[in-house]
Amino acid sequence: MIGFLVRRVLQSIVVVFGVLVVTFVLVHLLPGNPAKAELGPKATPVAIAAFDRLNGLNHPMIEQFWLYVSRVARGNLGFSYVQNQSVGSLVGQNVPKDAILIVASTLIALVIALPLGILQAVRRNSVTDYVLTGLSFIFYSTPTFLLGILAIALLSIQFHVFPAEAPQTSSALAILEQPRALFLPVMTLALLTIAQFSRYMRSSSIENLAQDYIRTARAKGLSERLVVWRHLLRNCLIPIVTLLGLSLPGIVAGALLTETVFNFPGMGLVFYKAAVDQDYAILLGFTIFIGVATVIGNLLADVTYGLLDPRIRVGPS
Amino acid sequence: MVSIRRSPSPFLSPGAADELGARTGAPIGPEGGDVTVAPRGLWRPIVDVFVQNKLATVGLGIVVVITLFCFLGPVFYHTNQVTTNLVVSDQAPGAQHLLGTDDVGYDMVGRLMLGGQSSLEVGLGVALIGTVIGTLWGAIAGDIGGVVDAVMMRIVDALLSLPGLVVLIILGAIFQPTEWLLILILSLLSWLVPARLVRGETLALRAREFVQASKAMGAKRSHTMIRHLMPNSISVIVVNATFQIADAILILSALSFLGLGLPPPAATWGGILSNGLNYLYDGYWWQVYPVAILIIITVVAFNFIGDALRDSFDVRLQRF
Repeated sequence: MIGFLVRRVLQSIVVVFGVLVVTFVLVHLLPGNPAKAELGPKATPVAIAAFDRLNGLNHPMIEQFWLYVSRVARGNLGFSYVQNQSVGSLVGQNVPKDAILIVASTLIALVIALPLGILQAVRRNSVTDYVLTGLSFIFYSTPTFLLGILAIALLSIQFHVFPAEAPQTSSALAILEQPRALFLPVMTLALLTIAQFSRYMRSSSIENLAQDYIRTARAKGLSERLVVWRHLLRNCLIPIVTLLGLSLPGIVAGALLTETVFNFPGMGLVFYKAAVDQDYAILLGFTIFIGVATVIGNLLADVTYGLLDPRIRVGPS
Repeated sequence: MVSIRRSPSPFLSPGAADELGARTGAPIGPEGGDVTVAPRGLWRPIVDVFVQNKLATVGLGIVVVITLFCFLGPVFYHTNQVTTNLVVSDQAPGAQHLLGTDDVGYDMVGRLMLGGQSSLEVGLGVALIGTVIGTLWGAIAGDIGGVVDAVMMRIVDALLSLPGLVVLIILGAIFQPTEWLLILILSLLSWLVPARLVRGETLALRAREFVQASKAMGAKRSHTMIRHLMPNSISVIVVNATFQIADAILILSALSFLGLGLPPPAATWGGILSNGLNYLYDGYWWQVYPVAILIIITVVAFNFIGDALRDSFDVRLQRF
């Protein structure tokens, strides 16, 4: 287990390094140069020269990369001149709000998708299975923004059940005080995840139902209900950990679109506005942050998996 | 398992199919070279899926109909998709315009065809480029192994850790999007998953006897890779490519919604949809629902095909 842990941590460090290389390349892909990106398109040559000297941009590439890495390692994600705020503080302000959206919708998705997938597997090829499969296909294939806007049209404009806009506050705690306004964005994001997770659960349960331990449980004379809830569910839960780790980038992308539709004041919305303003400091800073968070998320998922399932610990990944 | 009759494939000449089949290590039987047991063609299992699986056939049918509608439709249904005509903007469906017009007077049916062309082309292009690069990358990494493999796969891991949409938004903001550029940008990320899958397949195949035999006979690495490793990974590759077309169409629509799609007069389905959604509350349903339905059924159709292929090849993908 220790060896596995050490190897995975080392791998993750290499991957984080790779993330930095990619973002560094992106910085240098920018039209003009980083100075223009930070100072704006109308920056004077004098200002650009001063900025270059200040930020070590007159050094050779390798040295610049090293400066960049050590800057990020010290937790400095850059400074947005458009917002007149450091990217680090923007992340600090907005991530808790995104965490609420993402965690709430993922939890709801799990609570709904797990039983749904198992139900489909147990009633395989029945009408229930076909209807649920059809629904999950349709929801998976619907653009997130369409889902969100149609939900607003139906539930806010037509029937006035929920507000059309997400809670408009600056702090994460205040968001939680308006659960009604939170409902539509959370459910829009959850629907997409439910479609994905329930399909995954269905095939994973079908595979598990054919295993020997299920036959043993049935042979012991356990009721079908106990077989499903005590034996099948527990074993199906293990791969969910990996699924969560792998789904993270997709959920973040979904959150970005959901935030844009519902004007949810989170990182996704800030990111989208930064793309419109061409505020590259925010775009790159957030990309680094999300990349590193994903690497750590995957590492945690792998370690948890190793703890839950002893079979996975041995052998190369 | 082994089909008795000779199986001509629509993609390869019968000879080529049999030759490939023989090389993919299809079981020959104890008699060894008995003519009654012909090797299965490389593409035959894929054709079988469509014959046997109803959903896959329905999916393929939908894809064919929509493709014909988008590419052959303009030949029969002439519309002006270049210049705007505000006099006829926002017209309801009628004899003149079967599905009405949009906010600047483009005929909606013609718009759907034009948008479909670019959406399907982008989807197909992205899947094709991503699959070719990913397959090569994965096969090379898996076959060489060691440090090369480790470095190549960490590069893939690093790129996979970046949320695709986020990188696409940055690239879309930097460059002025054209159709080719969108294909290239989306392909930058679409090769990652096939690379991982093919590497996994290669690792498993490398230990198999027919690959060992090929190497023992002194075959060059490139020969083993192209003749043995890649053809035997074909099921994983094809299944993944099908899903990638669907995903690319969805991602393109998301990019269009964020304003990073093709600028007018070019059109994508996503662009038409997000434009139409601005007028949802004006009751211009024809600007929203036809295109929404087109996107959904196209993506569902590709998913049907991918799902059926995956089930019958027994391929395991971390998806759905």
